[in-house]
Amino acid sequence: MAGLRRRYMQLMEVLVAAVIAAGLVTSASKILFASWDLCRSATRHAHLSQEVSLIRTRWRLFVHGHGGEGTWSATGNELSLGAARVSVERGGLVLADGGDEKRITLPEGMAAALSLEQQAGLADAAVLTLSWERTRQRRPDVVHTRIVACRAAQEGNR
Amino acid sequence: MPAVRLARIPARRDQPRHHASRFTVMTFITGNNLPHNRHRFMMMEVIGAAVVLGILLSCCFSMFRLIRQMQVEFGRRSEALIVLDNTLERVSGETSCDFEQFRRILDDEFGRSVLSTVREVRTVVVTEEKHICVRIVGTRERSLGDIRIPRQE
Repeated sequence: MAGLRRRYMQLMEVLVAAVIAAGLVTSASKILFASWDLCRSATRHAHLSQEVSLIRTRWRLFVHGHGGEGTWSATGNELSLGAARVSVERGGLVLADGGDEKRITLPEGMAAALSLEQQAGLADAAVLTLSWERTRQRRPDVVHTRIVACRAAQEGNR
Repeated sequence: MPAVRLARIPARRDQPRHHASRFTVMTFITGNNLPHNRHRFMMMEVIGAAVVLGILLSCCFSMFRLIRQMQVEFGRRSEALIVLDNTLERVSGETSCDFEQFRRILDDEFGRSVLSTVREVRTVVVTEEKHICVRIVGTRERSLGDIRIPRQE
């Protein structure tokens, strides 16, 4: 075509353009991964908070309802609350009272541990510790949530 | 990625039909095949575009930082509520709970939570006439959670 003047880029222009493009792509990918990470962790946190709330309610209701009489003792992953028994089995929490047995299924990736805290001058406390892994800013971290349940003998204090 | 812009090209009578399109994308780096009215970015335009891009990127990253801070704050709030909830549960399990016992239970629960590892977070207990007010405060004395329980004589 008449009057057409095409010009190839000079090496310096190509290098500058490549550096700018690399910077833009890096920034865009960082924003993308940060958004993805943030959304995933927020969704997981919201889901686990709801699950923890439900587990806490059921755990306390069971201890208040069945742990009023008898002595409490803990052996490994099992807690004896008088005639009732709580144990951790295959990703779930088994609440047994005589022939009646209920099972609370834990969410995926969540582990549970049972313990009994007996301190001088204070009431016994059955403790359910829930733990799960989370990734914050690409660093793995383990979250522990302690849920205490005491005997329901002193309803007047509630 | 070359910067692009839309430029309005005035139609000229002595040019072929395909050059008379109203809008044409012109590039700075690769040049263009239009024989007339060739336009390159001026230095001020390039600087302006870079500044706008920089502002957008910094806004984006500062928003992410803000969201992260909010996430940490909400995590602390939920942890504080768990501490207060456990404290109430243990207090309700006592036959009689005086202030010293209450303080002991609160300190024990707080010491077992991850909040005790955060330097800025602490518990504040205020004794009022009929109530004991317990607050867990975080950075800048911002309350993460509080409860008020009736005082036992």
